[in-house]
Amino acid sequence: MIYEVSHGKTTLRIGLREVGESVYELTVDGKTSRVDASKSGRMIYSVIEGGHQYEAILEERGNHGFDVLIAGRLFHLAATDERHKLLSQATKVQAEGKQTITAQMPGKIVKLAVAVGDTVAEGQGLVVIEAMKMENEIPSPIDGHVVEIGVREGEAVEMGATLLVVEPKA
Amino acid sequence: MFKKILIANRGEIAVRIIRACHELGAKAVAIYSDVDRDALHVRYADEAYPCGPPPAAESYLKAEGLIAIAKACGAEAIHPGYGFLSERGFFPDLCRDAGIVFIGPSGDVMRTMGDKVTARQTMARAGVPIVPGVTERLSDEEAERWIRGAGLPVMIKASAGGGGKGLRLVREASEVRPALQRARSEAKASFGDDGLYIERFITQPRHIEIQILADRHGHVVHLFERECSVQRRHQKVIEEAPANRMTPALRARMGEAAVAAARAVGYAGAGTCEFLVNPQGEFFFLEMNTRVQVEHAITEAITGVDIVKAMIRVAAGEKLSIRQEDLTISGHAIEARIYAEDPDANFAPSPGEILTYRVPGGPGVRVDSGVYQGARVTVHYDPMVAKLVTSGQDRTEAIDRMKRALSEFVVQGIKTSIPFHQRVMRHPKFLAGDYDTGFIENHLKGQEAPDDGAGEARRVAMMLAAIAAYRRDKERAERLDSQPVAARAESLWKSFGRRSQMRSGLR
Repeated sequence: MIYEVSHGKTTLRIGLREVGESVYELTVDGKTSRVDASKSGRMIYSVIEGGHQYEAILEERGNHGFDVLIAGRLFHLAATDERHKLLSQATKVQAEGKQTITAQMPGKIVKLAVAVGDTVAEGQGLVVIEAMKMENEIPSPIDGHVVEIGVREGEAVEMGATLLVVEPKA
Repeated sequence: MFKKILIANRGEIAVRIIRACHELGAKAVAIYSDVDRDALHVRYADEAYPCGPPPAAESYLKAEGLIAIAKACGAEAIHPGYGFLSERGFFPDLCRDAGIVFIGPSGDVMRTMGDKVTARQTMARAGVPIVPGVTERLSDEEAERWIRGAGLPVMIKASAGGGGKGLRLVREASEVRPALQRARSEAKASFGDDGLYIERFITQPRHIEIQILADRHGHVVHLFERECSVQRRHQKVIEEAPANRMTPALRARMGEAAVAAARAVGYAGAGTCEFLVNPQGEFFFLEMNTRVQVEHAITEAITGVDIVKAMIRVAAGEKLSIRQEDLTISGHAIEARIYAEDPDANFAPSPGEILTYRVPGGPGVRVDSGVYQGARVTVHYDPMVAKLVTSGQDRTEAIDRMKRALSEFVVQGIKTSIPFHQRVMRHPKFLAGDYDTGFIENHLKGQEAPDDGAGEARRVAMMLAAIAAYRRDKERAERLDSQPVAARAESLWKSFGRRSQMRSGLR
């Protein structure tokens, strides 16, 4: 199987073959190595490659995202089965356009700085949420105007709740 | 000595105080809100009583309720920890009226120091240098007028403030009005008092504070300094002791100023005088914290003094057993505050259940923590889950141990600031001890420049992501296979297996 793994602008094609219990042959840039990736607990891996041991903590993020904490560094990676990727490219929809802003944490809306119809600039504060005694201002991700507001001041919101929808300038 | 002490707090500091009680042979009484029934401090305590619903205002801040619990269970003293009621002047008064010893200074001292405006006036009178600015509360209009006259940048501060709440740095004229409003609303929400004052912003300041201990017989000592310049949004993130670029002469002058501050108000207990130090080595009194500090453990590490036990002893009327001339600094210590927050989402709080919790150990490592595997971090309270303190013979060894301990520390289920601390521990400015309170803002924004170590770590991380994706795909295929599907032409697992044998395109 071939996985495409990307980190920022870098993408590696990694050939993978399972050769034993938690042991894999990985081919990267024409070089094949044997990697023993033993998992304990909840996604805590001990990776041994050619005698070099690394401990890595992994968290899944969405369908293809993996956050890997290794050697004191946190990497945000995307890993996709190559076939899956080809499939998804064929049916890809335009991802630009309306931006739905959701609550990244449960909290209380202490301030709504905009109203429906307002023109907003990228980075402009839209709403202030209080959680864990801190007020956090949520900025607009794009230049545009507010087309929908899903919350009221003083309201408690759950994580993932839709706060506002901003539509880009035509 | 007291036989029974009620701890009016939760989390790691409640655990810390319970430990001190047990070492002193006193029974420890915990209180818990409805969401804290399973908290660690309850499990360490000898007695535990519910104190109300989750919001702090209805539980940990219910002073009369806590005193009623203390009286009912026969506790002779109350330790307030930090936060919550620890700096509310009415609480020591209520304790005194109920015949219970408050472990800390008197209500009068707290009111003097707790109101930052009064504290500034008092310190100026005692000859302690204060940050230039106003020494009274201002309305929005007065504040704007003062700023127009004095110029920017300025710090807008809550008169009742502390912990970075109700605090705003203003650099541009257009920011003045919104900053005043935000500071006022945050101050009102956090302290129930929206009074504000203004200080000139000291450029490139370092935050250095002096720990003091005072008994009720007029003895005051200082336990040297801590440097707390690694701050984010005016919250301390990493502290170390002793401070960088400190001279014996400056240390002596700051220590004397802190002792003078304590004497000026008749202080008793453990307290901290916070100062700003500018690049020229001038220092200015910022505020006095009339309670135990989060970062007290680094001072314990370099002096050998158990500050929490000392607080309890002096509250029981004992004389301080240490004299200034007996105190020396031994080695170096660093504290990293591990917060439940997402470093990739602008450090937003990350509440949730802790699914994995593996704590570091070994030489020179201390972990003060209020959580355990299976515990829940809720949105109701402070997001700090643990304090990691490392110490060594010198600063280099303390940093090496911090790096090592951070790499051993595993927390899953919630996001934490561990990766952030690791980044600080390899930053050249931090390693050189050459930083001020602007360090995070000026040097840790954006992506880290890659170095030699990052390339190899990234290659292994990418290989591991491929393996994890493969394992997940395989598990999914197996799970689908185990479900009865009438008309499936071929086992998904078989087709997955066949694909996995393909090695096309890669030689």
